[in-house]
Amino acid sequence: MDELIEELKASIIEALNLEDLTPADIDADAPLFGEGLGLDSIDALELIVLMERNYGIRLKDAAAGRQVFQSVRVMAEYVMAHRTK
Amino acid sequence: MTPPIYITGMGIISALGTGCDATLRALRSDRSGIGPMRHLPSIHRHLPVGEVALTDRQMADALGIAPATPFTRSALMGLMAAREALAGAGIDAAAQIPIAFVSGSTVGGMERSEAYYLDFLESDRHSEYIGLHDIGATTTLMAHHLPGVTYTASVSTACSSAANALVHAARLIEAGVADVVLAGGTECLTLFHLNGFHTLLILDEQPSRPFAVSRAGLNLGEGAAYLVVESEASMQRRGRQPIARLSGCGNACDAYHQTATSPTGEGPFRAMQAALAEAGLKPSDIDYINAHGTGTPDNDRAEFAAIERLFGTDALPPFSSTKPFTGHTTSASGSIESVICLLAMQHGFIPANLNMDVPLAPGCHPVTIRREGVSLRHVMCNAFGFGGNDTALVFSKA
Amino acid sequence: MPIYLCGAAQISAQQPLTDAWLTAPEALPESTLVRAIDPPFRSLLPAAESRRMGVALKRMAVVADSAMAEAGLGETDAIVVGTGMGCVESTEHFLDALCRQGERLLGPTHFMQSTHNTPASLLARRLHCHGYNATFSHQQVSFDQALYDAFLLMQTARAATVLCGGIEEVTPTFHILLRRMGYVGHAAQVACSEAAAAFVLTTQADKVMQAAAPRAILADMCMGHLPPTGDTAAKAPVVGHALDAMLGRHGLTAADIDAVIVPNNGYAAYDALPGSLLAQHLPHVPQVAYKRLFGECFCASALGLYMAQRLIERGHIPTALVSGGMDHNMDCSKDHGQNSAVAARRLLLVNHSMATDFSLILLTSSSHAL
Repeated sequence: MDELIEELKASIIEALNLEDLTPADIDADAPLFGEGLGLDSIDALELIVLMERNYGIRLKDAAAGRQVFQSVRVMAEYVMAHRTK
Repeated sequence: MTPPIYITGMGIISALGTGCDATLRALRSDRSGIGPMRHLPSIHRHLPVGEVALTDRQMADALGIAPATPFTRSALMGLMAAREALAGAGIDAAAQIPIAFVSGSTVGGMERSEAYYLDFLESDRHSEYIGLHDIGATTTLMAHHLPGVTYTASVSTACSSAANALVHAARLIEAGVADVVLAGGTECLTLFHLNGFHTLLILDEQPSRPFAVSRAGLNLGEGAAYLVVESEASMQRRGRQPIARLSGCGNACDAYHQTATSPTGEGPFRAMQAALAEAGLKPSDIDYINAHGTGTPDNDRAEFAAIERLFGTDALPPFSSTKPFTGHTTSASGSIESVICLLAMQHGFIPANLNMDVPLAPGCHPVTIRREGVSLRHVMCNAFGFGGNDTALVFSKA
Repeated sequence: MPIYLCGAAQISAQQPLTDAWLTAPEALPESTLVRAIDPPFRSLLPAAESRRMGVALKRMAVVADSAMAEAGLGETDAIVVGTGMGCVESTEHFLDALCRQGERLLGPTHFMQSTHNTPASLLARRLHCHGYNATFSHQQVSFDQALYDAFLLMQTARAATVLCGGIEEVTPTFHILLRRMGYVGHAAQVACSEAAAAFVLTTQADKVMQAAAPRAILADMCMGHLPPTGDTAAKAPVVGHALDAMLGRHGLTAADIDAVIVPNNGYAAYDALPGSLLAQHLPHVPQVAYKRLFGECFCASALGLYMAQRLIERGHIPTALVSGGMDHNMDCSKDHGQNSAVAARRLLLVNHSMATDFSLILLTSSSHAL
């Protein structure tokens, strides 16, 4: 699980071009959107692509994404449960 | 007071058919052009689109362009519409009238580039299409097949491109540097655009439902439309009758987000307000609004909020989105829907906002059943694009 | 109502955001593609804001900030941008993924930025400008069309101040395509490069005339389309006719033009049109070929305007910049002092795109207004 969390942090930084951040800067339990990392709706769409590309998980729409992208830990739990690759 | 600017010709091609007559017949029989993909080689076959029925070859034949000539679909559709517009205005090669040609597009020759891109990089195969890729090339290609073009400009402001081409046309006439401007836009369907909109999750798998609470996105369409915009002096000199006046143009920037519209519709509000001001009209003078109404959750909510704010909750003019007929023809939508507005004005009807179910908000009641026998003195046409680029045009009976 | 050019900035093959090109120009490296020299964006743009911007957007944002700061007017009524290809890197990224991996797993960011009006809309958001916003995209006259739209907007009193930009990005991949289409890469032709420039134009004379140095005035502008057939010799008179008409409107003749800023890039087929035009209409007028310093790209003419504006503000043209068209009595190559330099009171900018579209711009100095 911890390994997956670190992997997710690194891939989020890369996919969203968060060039000033390192994985250590991201709190696995902090909200990704709004207050936390300050991501927006376009980032959510990029994360949907990331989930499919890396884990074979297809999220149908932005609403489904919002559930999964609450925090890196929630993402990791979802990936563990649903990954197809 | 600026001198009046007239529309003396118009031409159109879209999923509704080729030409004003076919378009009018479809609108007045509530027949949508949305359907399954026929030409676009996409894997997303489940997405309905508004394709122009004609193949490139059929259009080239109709235009008298030799089969081997490198051409793009946008330029072919554009020429179909442009030639109809010029013919309607009584302009042919023999007329020897200097024409300013202003065209809006976003994809340019992308449908060839996406087919040949790897060839472009690796060999000389298809390299004759590299120079047709950019937006200006489509304009130039068209200009070379039109009579008497002495000025060209290519506007690229996403889905408001054609509307802004008409704004630029109005400025050319107002400044006295052109007498006759052929203005509008053309845009063909491409995998690039279809997939781009798909990544934004704003394509509906069902026919689009603008202003409905169930709306879930847009259907892409393709097509072209051009209008002949003319100064009063030139029109009188040529002894032509106007179709209408282009009485006001307004462009404003939402300045909110690259793709999303602000919840209050600040840009749309300012654009409509500016168009009214330029036309010297009050909100109550507008008899019909052809809304941008894409069917995306964002756009329709913001556009309706802006309409309510400008016109007043109790005084909304009749409005409808005709995108359920044509699909969202993106860069061409501003001129395609301008032609629809002018047909409605000429023939005294208001086209229906198809596929409506429950309105997205209380008081949001677009015209869902076509109205006939109405007199439209002033109509407004909205076209909003990515980058918050919002344009409203007002056409008035001449 | 004169239109003043009161703020400008550039990022190009020369040192960015300075006028070092005037006194210590960079010699373009021996390469067919010379990328722009970027300023340190990290100190100029907040990281959170710029993380999704491609390099073209960063350049556009920075030159606009710099031009707005120089103008000191606080805000602008309208924003008009010219770009031949928009944000090329983003477009390429999306197109490449589409062509190589198919219609799956594509992300929205690059698609969004591929839309050509992304730079203009970015400027609107950064400047909170809800006013008129337009983008023109027409090969080598993309910037000229944007400037012309701004000019018309001000002439018809639709705007008192306009921010006008030109942006062109050339990636190595796009460069391959430009070479295949025969646009760059010819023997003796200048290198292909990139351009980002922004200008603040205003009719608010009271606010700009406090400056000590003379201001450049956009006195007139004219654009036209040339017929597809016929050789250069047949086309030059069409441009010449427009030129005569423009000069005539202001009671000027060839003798009143101090220098012509020419688009020549060393490729004979391209240089033929301005060559023929100037030989016929302005045979003894000094020429300044800006692409020797800045290279060639669809928006190179924005750098031509940038150069012309700075020359007018200085009041003279360093002799090292002056090339052909010199009167034989006035051999500038022997001059070293400023006294013998060419004056810059009235400059004509000539530009064309593939001998199909042309533009003529007349710039004057506020100290020698028409």
